[in-house]
Amino acid sequence: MRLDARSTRDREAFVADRRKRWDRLDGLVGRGPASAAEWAELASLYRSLCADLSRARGLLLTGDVLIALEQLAARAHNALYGARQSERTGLVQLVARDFPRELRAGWAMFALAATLFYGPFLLGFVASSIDPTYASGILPEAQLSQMEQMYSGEIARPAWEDASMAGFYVFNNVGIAFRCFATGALAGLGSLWFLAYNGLVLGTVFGYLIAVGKGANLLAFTAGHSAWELTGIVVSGTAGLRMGWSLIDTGGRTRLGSLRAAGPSVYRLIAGATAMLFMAAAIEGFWSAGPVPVAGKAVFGALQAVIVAAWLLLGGRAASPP
Amino acid sequence: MRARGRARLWRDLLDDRLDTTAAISTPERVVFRFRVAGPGRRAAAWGLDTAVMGALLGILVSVAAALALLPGFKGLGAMGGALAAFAIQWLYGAGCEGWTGGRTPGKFALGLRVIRDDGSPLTWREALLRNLLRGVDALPMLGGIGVAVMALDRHQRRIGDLVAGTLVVCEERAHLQGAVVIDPPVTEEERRTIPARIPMARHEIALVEEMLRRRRQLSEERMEELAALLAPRIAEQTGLTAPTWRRSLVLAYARATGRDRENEAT
Repeated sequence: MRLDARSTRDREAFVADRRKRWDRLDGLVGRGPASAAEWAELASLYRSLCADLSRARGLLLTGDVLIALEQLAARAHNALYGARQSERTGLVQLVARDFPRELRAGWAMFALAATLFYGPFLLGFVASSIDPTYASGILPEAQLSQMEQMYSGEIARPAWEDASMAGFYVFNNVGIAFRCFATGALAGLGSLWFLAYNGLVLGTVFGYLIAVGKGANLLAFTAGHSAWELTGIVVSGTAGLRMGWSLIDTGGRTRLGSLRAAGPSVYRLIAGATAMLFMAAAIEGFWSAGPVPVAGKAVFGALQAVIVAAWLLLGGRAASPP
Repeated sequence: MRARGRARLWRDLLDDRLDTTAAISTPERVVFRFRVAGPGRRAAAWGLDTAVMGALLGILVSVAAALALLPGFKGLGAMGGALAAFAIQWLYGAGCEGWTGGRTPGKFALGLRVIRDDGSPLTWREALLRNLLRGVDALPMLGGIGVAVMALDRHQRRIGDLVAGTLVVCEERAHLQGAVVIDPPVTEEERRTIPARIPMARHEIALVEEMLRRRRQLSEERMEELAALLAPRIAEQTGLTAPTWRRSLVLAYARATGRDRENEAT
């Protein structure tokens, strides 16, 4: 059939001829095909719609036809190609397998984040354990004496507080990790600051408490969860730095394209960091203030460190990627 | 000349030169266009969502506080309150968008949806990533960095959208408009009164057709108002008379296109 673009009747005939097929496709996309035959029908209706659409453009059909056809084509396209069931990995696989692989593949960034955290940590630790007045240059006196008060005996609290503190640790620590990660988008500067600042403050407090003789109480409380918590913070910083670095070294992409390409790996890293910090919050809430003697807590802490190391080094190794 | 002008208009639209549309092309060489949501509409959706989040937080914390009053549930209640605060702050957006395929209540109210930048539906990964990155987009206050980045980006994406590879689009469901129907048909009597020749320009004919296609959406009064913009001129030129401007425009159109004899043929 030869259509004359200038003739209203031809244009309307074009629509009238095809309308039934479009409506059928619309219905199929709307409720989702139920059988293989319906999928095949959807695919063939979609292809004929694509042909209609280019024809409609050639005919300069009025706006409403073009827009309606485009939207139908978009929905049909998503129905056909949008199914990504097989791509979806479960949460367990993501954390147990994909995250450690990702971390090892980008180990240099992890090493950098660890240096940015533990460098200032050691600085603060050494300086304030040699000279406790150094600590008051970093933190306000009031906060230091509060810390000293807190660790003046073994930390003990009524059992009901354990759960509430676990909730607070999630709110506070995971929140910090998320901010440490997100601000990495500013060419890594935010993550850099979060890592170095938290490292310095923690190191200073630890050094100070040991210098004033509260080391045993500090060890008793922090031994159990520190492997999870400190590594979790460093990993969240790794994710942020990774994102920031993608803006600097684009590997031939545009800056934004490079940032976009970093998305999936950054997601795996932050998923791992979140899991670690939830684990840390659970231990810190329900174990760290418990009645176990210091030696037992130290052994438990060492065991946790071994578990974390094994997970990061070996997770996802056994099953090699296809 | 005019036809060429219209052709140019369509070509421009397809070329993605307007910065409020995002064109996505498929392997079938089909191009879809999406209308990208701007900062105003997104800010309104964000405002609504903030209100919903505030209300949710109020409810959950009250429930947690009530739970904490029960004997033996003090710790559990306090933990629930803290976890609720965490979940609402960080997971509200991701949760809503993950479950509904890209809509929070605020976006739903404003007709917005988050999609992947290839046009396909959002998955959990993108929903989580783009919402975690609110941590940077919201800095230093009230979405400062996010809005600045949106202003620079062609598709008005904030950092979260850029990393996750998502777009926020205005959802519009266009419906095929009906055919041009002359209703009621031109009567024999009317046909005798219409002047033999009515000169109408092509764009005028197109305008009348657009109006007749929309006759179900327009009220009688509005149709009359619209018709009064063009019909008096035609009436003056040709001496066409009809009870309403609307009818006289329809009659002029029917004569100019030869459709006044349509019902005889069929």
